[in-house]
Amino acid sequence: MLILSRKKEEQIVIGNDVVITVLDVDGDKVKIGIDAPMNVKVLRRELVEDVKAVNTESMGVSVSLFSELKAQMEKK
Amino acid sequence: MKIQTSRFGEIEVDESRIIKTEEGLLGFEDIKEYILLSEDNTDFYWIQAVSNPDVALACMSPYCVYDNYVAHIDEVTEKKLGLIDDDDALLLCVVVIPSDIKKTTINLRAPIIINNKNRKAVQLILENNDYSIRHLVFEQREAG
Repeated sequence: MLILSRKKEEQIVIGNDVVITVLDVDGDKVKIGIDAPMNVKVLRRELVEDVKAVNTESMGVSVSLFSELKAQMEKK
Repeated sequence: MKIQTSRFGEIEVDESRIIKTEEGLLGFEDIKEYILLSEDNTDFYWIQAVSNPDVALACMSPYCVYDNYVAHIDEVTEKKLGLIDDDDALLLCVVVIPSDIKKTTINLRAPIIINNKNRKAVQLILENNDYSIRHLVFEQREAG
């Protein structure tokens, strides 16, 4: 991993068109600005990991439980 | 063509029904082709991987829990899907059913969007953080 030290308002350029700016540092919190083209997805990592986890957990659903869910939803 | 599935055995599917995801689904980036399997009820589907018998995600229409569910599809995603008319988009959300079925959750934050016209699909993480990744299905229905 490349490790860089940056101060407030300093920037990092990734590739040709992604620019990261350190906007503010307050204790253990860093505010970061990201300029990236529309087709570059920028997401909080934990969000992506949680979606992956849910996708993987869904694979564990059995056919019988899924049918049971259908039945319960239709009942309402 | 015939595909192998661990849940339903060998099944015959029409190739024209295969759904293609350029980026795969999150956590399954290497699997690009899926097929939708449903019985009579078209609000409930298995998204079954064509090439991997074990990979099948249980999905449900978000409208089963929220009549007024709205997924804002950004321009880049629209382009990826070749989506011209939003009415062509089928939205499905991944469900997780624990042994206590009352605790079933639906991922309203990252719907799988399928363009019915060309069978292209994308799993999109929405900007809207009102929608939860683990939304309790029955809580909403009972509250509403």
